Amino acid sequence: MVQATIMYLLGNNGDQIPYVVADASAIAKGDVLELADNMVVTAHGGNVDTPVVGIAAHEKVANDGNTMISCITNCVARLTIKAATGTSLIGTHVSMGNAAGVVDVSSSLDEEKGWSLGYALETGTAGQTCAVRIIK
Amino acid sequence: MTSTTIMYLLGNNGDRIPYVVADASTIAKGDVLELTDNMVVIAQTNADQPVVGIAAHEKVANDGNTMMTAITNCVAKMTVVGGGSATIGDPVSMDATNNEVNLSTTLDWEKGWAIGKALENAGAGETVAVRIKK
Repeated sequence: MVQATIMYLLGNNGDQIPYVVADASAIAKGDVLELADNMVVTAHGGNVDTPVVGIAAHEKVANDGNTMISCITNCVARLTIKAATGTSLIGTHVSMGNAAGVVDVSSSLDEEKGWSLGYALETGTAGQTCAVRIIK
Repeated sequence: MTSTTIMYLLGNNGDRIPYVVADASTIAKGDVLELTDNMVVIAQTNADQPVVGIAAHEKVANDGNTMMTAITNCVAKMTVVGGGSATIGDPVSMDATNNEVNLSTTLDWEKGWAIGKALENAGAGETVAVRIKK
C-alpha cells in the first residue's frame, strides 16, 4: 500500500473532518479514506469507482479502542499513479486506481459521484508520483 | 488587460498555494494563473487550459523570484468577455483575452478549465462575482 504525502495543508490545518472508523480497522497516516455509509471510513484498499473523502491525518491501530479518525480534506498531496496503465493530466481529476492508495485519471461522472480525489497539478504516467489538489 | 478584484478571501487567507514561475515571467497581482506541467504557472493567456487561481502578488520579469502564490479560495469580481455571458450557478472558464471569463462549455469543469461558478448573471463586458475554489 502506498500513502499520500502532504505537500501543503490548506484552510484551517487541512480542514480536518472527523469520521467514524471500526475499531478493528487498521489505517496508516496518509492513507486515502474511502467512505461507507453513516460516515464510516476505511483505508482505500483497491476499489475503483468508490467515494473517497480525503487523507488520514493520523494512524489507526487495529483494535486500539479508537473509533474516530481525522480526515484531511483541503491540501495539496503527492500520490502515486496506478501501475501499468495509469496516467494523470494537469487540471484533470484523478480517482482511485485498482491498488491501495494509487490514482488514475478520472472518467465521466467520477467527480459528480464523489469518486474523484482531486485534480492533478502535474502530468504523469504509470508508477510516477503526481501532485494532486485535494478539496473534498 | 483586465485584472481580477478579490471581494472575499475565504479559508485561511485564501488558501494560498505556492507554484513555480519562470524568472522571465511577468505576472500582475490579480492575474488568473494558468497551469503548465510540473506546477509551473504563467499569467493566463489561453482559452481551454487549466487554471489554478489568482496571483496574490506581482512578479516582475527577471527579478530573481521563481515562486508565485496562488489564491485558491475566494470570491472575486471578473469581467465577462465581449460576446460572452455568465449565468448564476454555472461554471465560467477563461477566454483567450487575459482574465476575462465566459460561460463554460461541456467538460470545461472536469478538465480544470473553469475558474469557478458565477454568482451573478452578466452580459458581455460586465463584471461578475465568481466563487473560486480551486
